[in-house]
Amino acid sequence: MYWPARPYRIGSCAVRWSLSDARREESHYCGGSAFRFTRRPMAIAAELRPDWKMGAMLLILHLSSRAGKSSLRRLHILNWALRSAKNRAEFEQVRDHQQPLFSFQFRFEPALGRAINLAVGEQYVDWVGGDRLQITAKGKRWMAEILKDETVMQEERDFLTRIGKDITETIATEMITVKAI
Amino acid sequence: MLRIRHLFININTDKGVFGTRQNFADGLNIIRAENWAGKSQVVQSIMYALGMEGMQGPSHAVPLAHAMTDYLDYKVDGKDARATVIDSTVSIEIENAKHEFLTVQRAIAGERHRHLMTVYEGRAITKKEGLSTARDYYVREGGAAINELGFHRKLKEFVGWELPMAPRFNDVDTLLYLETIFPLLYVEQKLGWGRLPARYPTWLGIRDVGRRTVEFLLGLDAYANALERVAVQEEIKRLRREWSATRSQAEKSAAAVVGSVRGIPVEPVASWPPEVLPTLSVMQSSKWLTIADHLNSLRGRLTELQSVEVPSTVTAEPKIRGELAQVEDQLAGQERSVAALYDKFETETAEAESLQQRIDSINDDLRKYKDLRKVRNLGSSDQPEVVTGHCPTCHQELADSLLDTANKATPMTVDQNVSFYEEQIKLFTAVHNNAVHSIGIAERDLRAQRAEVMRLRERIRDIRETLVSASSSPSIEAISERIRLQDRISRVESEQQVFDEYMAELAELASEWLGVQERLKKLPKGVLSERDITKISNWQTSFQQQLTQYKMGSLDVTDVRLSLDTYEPEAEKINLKADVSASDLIRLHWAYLLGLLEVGTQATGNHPGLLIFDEPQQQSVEENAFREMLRHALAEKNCQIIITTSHERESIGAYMMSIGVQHVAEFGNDRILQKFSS
Repeated sequence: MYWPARPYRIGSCAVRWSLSDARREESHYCGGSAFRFTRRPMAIAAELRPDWKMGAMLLILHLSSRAGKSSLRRLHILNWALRSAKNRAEFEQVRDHQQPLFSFQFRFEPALGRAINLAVGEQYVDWVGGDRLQITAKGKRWMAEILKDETVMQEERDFLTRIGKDITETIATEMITVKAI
Repeated sequence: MLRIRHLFININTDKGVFGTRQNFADGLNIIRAENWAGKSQVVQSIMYALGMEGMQGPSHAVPLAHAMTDYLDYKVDGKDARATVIDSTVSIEIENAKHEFLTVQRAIAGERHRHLMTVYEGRAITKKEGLSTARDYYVREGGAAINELGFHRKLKEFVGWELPMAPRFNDVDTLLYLETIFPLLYVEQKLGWGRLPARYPTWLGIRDVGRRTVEFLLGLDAYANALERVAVQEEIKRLRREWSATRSQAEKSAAAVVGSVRGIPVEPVASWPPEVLPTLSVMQSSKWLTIADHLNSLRGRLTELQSVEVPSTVTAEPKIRGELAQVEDQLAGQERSVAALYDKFETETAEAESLQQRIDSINDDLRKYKDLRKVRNLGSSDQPEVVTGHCPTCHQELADSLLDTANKATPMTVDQNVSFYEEQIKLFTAVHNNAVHSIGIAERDLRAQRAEVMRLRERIRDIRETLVSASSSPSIEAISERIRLQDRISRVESEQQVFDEYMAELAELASEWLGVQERLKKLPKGVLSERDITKISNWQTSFQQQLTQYKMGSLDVTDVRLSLDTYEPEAEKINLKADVSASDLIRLHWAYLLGLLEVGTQATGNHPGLLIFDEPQQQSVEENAFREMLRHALAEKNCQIIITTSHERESIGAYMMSIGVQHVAEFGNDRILQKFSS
């Protein structure tokens, strides 16, 4: 088998010859000789970091939910509303009745599901009554730590404070039901 | 220069009028009395009369004893008696370098507002001068240092000070307040001696207050340099602003003739004209021509037309029929290229928009990452376990991501991700700027091409109208071409004039830019100029000589220096405040302030030559040291030093007599505030 003396790049993609880092390498046979690809670490959106998503979810429970408790569907709606400046603006229009409830197009984000599972594992939230999530004492402590620095998650915080606890389970159900039609 | 000439304290009580009158001369003035006699009240009331009590703190309470505010104990026929104060005032006469006098009167107790000062232009107490010039000023309120009726502004002008601006904490710059300067001129007895070199007021919020005041009193160039540096930076900012304004105005005005300006440097330049001359060009037959060439060709065409008579329709017809087809072809070609340009313009705009969106979303993500980094750096014990790379339930390895776990891709660490995004933003911003630039060019070309289309259409209309008009009438096409040409020429000419004016303006700015660059170069690299260093070293020499004279015991005198940075006394490897005996601190204090007076009263200094020590013999400083200090103070020239002491009468009296102190106010066993004989 022929190995080049030094690693070099192939084209402009982030793939290169490498003899090291055996853990992440996969072999592909191509024309009789083995190409070895190394996976480079990948940039991902901050939204996909477990602690960001858990933090955002806890913020929703902490600032915008009665008794720190919320149903899954309501969490999904608020999570989507919280994601970007555009979503936040759209959501606020709906809340202020400038747009009909069904005009807020939201998605169920798989990442939120994973974040919830992790948060349960971290004991930040508990399932109560089988269908609601509630923030725990540990979750509240961690939130308090984060909230100490006023600059952290400021836009999210401002948004949720503005929303307050206005979005009830009933409204959330309506939003989903209308969507189902 | 500032001299205290006369002090008059007047206290009206239910038992008659009490008070004191004191004269002060140049040179050393000694007030000797017993501890309880009220010496401190005398000097303190001088400060009060100058409105300086703010140097001791933000309080608005009158900093004087009850004898002037409430009740007064005195002896009548050898028996103790008490009088209740009805009202009281303090007045002083002060003199400046021009031998002008000012009398200031301020209420201590009574009805009159304590923030008001009545000022007379002259010696109103001793000579009854300027009684008609009485005017009220105020102190201890906003603007007292700036407004016309602010007493500190008046005082500053009287002394002849030009106070510099000083930067403040969390606030805009302010004038260096007089309250920050006086701690170097007056050492109060109770607290003043406890802080070396001076007890500066902190409540005024001036940064580096000790340095600023010393720089001012010594007249160091450091101050002027700091000011000059600020001024130069302001000037640079202004020139940049004007330059870019002129540049964009020149570009805008070119739009009037659908022209385009090229070659004006974005940043100001020092040499004008630049190597590549800025030009104003105009599109003519799909080519950019300089305005001069354009004008020449227009004029050429006009002379050509004017040399022949306006033809009649019938004679012009064959020629313009041929021309019509030609112009229509040209128009079609021009319209095609406009369409192509428009497409390009639209694509570029869309691209720029999408790039902007991309940049915005990366910026938002970047913000989230920065927040995330802060959260992770909290190191809270309640922090999620998953960020350490482990599942909180089964403790197996877990990627730092919420992506589908079947995907084996490893996410970047947060720091990697942040720098990745930062790079991306840099890249996209560069691409975006590029796109914006080419949009600008496309827009300009589009404008020019459209103007060309308009011109061709007008020409076609003229020709058509000519073809349908009466055969004997003059050719409309020929006439309107002339008119349009003339109109265009006059517009282009005036635009050229405007452009030349802008160029002249830029030339002017360039020469100012050169000037400011030279000023910038002249500023010294460090803070202190050579003259400054000489002054400080003179001060240090005097300081060290005095310390030897006063027999400082704790340290070798040569080890104590004046810092070139803070201008405070310092000794290598020694914390002066901790390692020096209390009495030596007092010696340092004397030497520091007397040295400052000595150097600061020389030609380029701003020291007013006034120094007041209230009971300087603190911390049981030896008799000899005190005597030496008096001797040194007596030898100081161009100044007025006022020292109070309760030192035992006989010995100090004899000593002062022997060294020749002339101005001694000796009160024996009496109080200073006494009943005026009616």
